[in-house]
Amino acid sequence: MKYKLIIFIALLFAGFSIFSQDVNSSDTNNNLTFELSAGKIFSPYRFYKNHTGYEKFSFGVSKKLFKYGGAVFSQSYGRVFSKTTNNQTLVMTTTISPYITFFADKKINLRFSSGTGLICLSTKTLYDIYPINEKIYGMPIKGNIAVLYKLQNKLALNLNIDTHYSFLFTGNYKLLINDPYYYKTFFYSINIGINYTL
Amino acid sequence: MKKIIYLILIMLFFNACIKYPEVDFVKNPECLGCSAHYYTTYYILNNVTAKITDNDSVDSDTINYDTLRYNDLNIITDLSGQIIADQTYECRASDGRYRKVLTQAYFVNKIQSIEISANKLYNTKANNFAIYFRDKEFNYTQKNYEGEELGYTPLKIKLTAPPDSSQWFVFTIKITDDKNNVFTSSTDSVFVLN
Repeated sequence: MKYKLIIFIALLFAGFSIFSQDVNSSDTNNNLTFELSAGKIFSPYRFYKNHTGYEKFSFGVSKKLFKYGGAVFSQSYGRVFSKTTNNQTLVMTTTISPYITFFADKKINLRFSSGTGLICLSTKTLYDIYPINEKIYGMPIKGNIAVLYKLQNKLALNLNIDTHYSFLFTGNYKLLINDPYYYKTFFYSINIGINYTL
Repeated sequence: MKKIIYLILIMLFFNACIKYPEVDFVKNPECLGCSAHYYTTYYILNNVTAKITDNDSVDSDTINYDTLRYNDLNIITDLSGQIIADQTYECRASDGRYRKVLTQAYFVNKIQSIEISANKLYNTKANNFAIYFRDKEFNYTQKNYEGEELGYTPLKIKLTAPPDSSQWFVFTIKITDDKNNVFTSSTDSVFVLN
């Protein structure tokens, strides 16, 4: 079932390239873009695999450095919650990532980006009797695939899949069990938003 | 041609992802001959239960003791509460089969004080009680505990001196944590021989 989904997505991207239309590239001089997206975060891996993902918001600024590439700085906030432990974790990432685009002159564009930065997992117990707050830091490796659909010259719709594989720094944790096995985490999210190019 | 190359790259990217193995207990039966693996799960304290046992009984015994010599008497203090951090991995033996897993509860509340009292004067001269904390391997050690975490359940309290005279006692344990939560429990009545 999952392989079928992967093949479907791959063919979908191929379809974008074949059927997308040419557009004016009059905006290429203005290469600073603001990106805002919202979606749902998933936490399927290791310590956080029993957590349920909820909303995620991300804000980014990208700068086109050449026709098919540039860099994007982004900040994101996602929320996951465990019913078993009654813990809520805010997943905050700050990353900088180079990107490449494939169909810069088309109405539908495909963008890959990969980079790194800092992840902060801010966890707290929701029990009033003994509140515990904990901040856990780490270094993520980020991957992002975005499909951009140009609505106007300056405005584009952004559908993206965002992934973070993170290496957490060691520490004396309570809300994350002190086992090296848990010092690697993985989160991904599916988001939709808009890009506005200045 | 470029489009075909892009398509192949996309296919390679997706196929390179490795799925984390899920536990299939039908294909992977539990390893019966292997030693058990102990999980630690973290809790915050919500309730304390004190009971009387003797030196020969194990922590889980529920026998009622009504007469004991002071140096055979243990006050076992079971801690219970709400789970705040749980292990999520499955433990495999060297042959790939899954080992039996036993959960150990660890309590993160920091101790402000532990007070033990009897319902009547126990001994006018001696320091009467010693508290022993359990480590992961079920050994008990005595330690300075103010500011320390409660640790693994249960705690064991022993009488270090005989009573002035043989009589019935009810012992009360009062644990205060660093957030000023107070947990109290009393034992059943027990006749202590000096």
